Amino acid sequence: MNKEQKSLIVENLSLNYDDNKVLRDINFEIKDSEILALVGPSGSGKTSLIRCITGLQNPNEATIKISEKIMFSSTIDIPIEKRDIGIVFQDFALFPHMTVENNIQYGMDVNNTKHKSLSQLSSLTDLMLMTGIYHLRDRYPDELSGGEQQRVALARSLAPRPKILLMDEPFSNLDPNLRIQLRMEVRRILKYLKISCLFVTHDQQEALYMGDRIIVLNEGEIQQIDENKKVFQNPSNQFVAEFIGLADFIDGEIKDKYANTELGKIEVQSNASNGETVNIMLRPDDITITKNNAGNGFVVQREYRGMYYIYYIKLNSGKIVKSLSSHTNDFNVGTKVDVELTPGHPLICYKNQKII
Amino acid sequence: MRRVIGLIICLLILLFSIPLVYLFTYGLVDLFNSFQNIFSLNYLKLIINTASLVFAVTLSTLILGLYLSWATEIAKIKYAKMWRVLLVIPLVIPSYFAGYLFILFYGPKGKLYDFFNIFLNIERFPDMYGFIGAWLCLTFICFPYVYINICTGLKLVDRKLESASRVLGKNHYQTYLKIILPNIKGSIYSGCVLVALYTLSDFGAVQAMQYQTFTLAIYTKYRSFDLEGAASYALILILLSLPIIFYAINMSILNSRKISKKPSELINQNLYDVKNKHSLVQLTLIIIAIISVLIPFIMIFELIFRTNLSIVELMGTIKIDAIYNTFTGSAVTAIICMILAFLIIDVLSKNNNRLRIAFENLIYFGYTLPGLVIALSFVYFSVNYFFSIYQTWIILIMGYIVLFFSTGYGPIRTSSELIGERYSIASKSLGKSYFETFYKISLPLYAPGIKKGLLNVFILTAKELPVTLVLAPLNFHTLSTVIWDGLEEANFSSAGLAGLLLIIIIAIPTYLSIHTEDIKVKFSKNK
Repeated sequence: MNKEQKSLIVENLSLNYDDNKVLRDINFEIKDSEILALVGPSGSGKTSLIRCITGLQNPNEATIKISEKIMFSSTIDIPIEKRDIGIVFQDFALFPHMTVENNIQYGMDVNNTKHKSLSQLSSLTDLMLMTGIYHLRDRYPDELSGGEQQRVALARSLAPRPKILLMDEPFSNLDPNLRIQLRMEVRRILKYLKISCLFVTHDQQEALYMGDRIIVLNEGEIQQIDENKKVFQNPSNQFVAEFIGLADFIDGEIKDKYANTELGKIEVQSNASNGETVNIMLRPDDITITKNNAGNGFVVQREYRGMYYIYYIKLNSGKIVKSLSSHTNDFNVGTKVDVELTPGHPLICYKNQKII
Repeated sequence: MRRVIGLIICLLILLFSIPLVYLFTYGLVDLFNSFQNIFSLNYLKLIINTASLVFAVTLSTLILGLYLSWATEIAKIKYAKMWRVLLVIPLVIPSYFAGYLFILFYGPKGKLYDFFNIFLNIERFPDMYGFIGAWLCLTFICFPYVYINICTGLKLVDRKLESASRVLGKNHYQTYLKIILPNIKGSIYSGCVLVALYTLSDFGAVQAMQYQTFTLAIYTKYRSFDLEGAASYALILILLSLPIIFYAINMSILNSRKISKKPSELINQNLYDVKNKHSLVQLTLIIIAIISVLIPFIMIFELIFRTNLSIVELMGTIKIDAIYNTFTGSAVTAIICMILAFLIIDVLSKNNNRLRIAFENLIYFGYTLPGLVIALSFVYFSVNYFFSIYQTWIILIMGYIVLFFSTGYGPIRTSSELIGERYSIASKSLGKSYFETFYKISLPLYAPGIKKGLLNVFILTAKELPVTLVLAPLNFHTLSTVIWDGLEEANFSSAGLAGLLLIIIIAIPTYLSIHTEDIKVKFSKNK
């Protein structure tokens, strides 16, 4: 067996506009048939990064390899059309003057569209069946709904069998229910076809769902690359912790495997030495509240989310933490509560924003 | 108020029907009287001459327009902004003037001949009169129509499609052919139709080139006071060009095409790197600019200073009243057209569709008719039914309105469709009165359309020749008639100077009109 194939390798990528450093020292790779989710707030450089990989923009410095073949380096610059990339655009960019079938066929190596070979015909049909648009094949893009256009865009980008697929916020133009349904479907198709994919989104939920691994990007720098669970459970810094899911931080003093906090003694996972003060990350589900007139906090705000509440609790120290609570626990603003730490796992600690 | 507007619409319909009545009474009568002539060689020759000229000019302007729009909008070249301005300058030179300037340079004993004769000692020189001359001259006057239309089309195309195609493995040229061109088809057709109509109705350039087309034949008939004969020629011309006229009318009415989405963040226009071909592209642009801009202007100055008059004597030849007449005539026409358009648009867009479409067909038909035909139909009308307005200001303005009203109405209508009713409803729901809503909401929203319409009508009227020539009161001069008379009577410095002044008067409005962002482009950005 060969060593594992890499679909995409990006090394030392940096991009400046004038003096403005848009991307700094980007290094990552995508393994064969892996889905890597790229997530970050708007303005973090996600779009610039895909522009560089596609070849729509040249980075100031980088080596970009697709399937072990150098596409961009200081001496090489392969044109866009020869990079073997597929892209699904945010607003689909379907060719308005072509039918669904012609859109999909456009990138396939068909010299004579009238006489398709049998294998091309079957792969075209397969693709349309798989993406559920076979019945729409003779329609024009403006006759399709958003979700249908999205499927056509996916089928079109997969038709030339790209080595890597880039999806740029593909679901952001769809309504929420459709979004959830489509992301399940898209993931299923990508996994079935064993397509490597860089999936760009600003939505953490979507990133956690779609990605086998996740890259968190902020201000042009990679904050963390890890499996999706690890990014959520062990965020490498406080930015990632707050960006992927809700998080609060309380101070604690390390003593062996524990820390002393204003909410009591709690088990932590940390390399900090005894006596050191750290910031301990709390997710809303790590905090349990019970009504108690002599409690150590009170409700200052609540968000009703249907199945549960998110309560904002002001502690005696003045610090505000969030707690997830069942919809049966209906506390009004101002209610005195007892705040308890009930994580069920050692908590993660930070010092100077970084995990320790 | 609605009644007044209804009356205005009825009067406009009557006004626009005058050419039709003229064509189908005088024209048909004359055709029947001289039925045997229809099959004469004379007619056949006119048909072939006109058709071949229209075809050739349309084709060559299309090629030029496609190439130039590619060079300035798609390719990454230096000075693109400057080229965009330079390449539309031919629009400000009226065709009857340009034709003469063209002959002055390329014609027998022209400047080019002198050059070859003196430096290369060449005696024989190809004759620029006739088809070749008319074709080349009209090509270099008309190509900006195609060029501007295609550029606007390119701005409306979602440029992300280009990237989508490149990513799917097609190179720049394949993408241009398969994706860009099909998506700007509409703009290409409109440009071509404008050129075809221009060529059909032009009689200045063909007169200078002594090339017999229908318009020139109509003019000759008019000069011999044969209104019936002119009408029969005009009728045949109109009937033969009906396909183009129908296409033009449909195109104008259906002009509110779908507006593409705003350019996405991912792909802001990526210009195509022409690399080593850059200097070749620049060279072709320079050659085209020399032929269509530099040479005509050199020739204008040559005309002005040909007679060795001193500057003071030259200034004396300027006819102040001609400047005044050109300016006020165009301004008054433009303002009347815009007031009428603005008054009726509301009623028309709310009323039933059939009436509106019929009305619009009629007014766009006016624009597609050669100016000469409209002028003759008004002569016919006033001489027969309304002699008191014959050769007065009133009938002149009426002729201008029939000819150019649609060019002012078009932008207003486009604005009206883009704006819709929602803003004025919102304003009224906020408790504002009809007039406050009109003044604070409708007027500012319509401002770009009004401006575009005013400029369109002003420019076209200022440049206009045949209607002015035929309908203007005696001893009434505009700059265009001064040019025409000057060229006919060999009064060259006067013609040259009037030409220069006319170009100066319409240069600024033309620049403003082209660089006022296309209304559709503007709205597509807002969405």
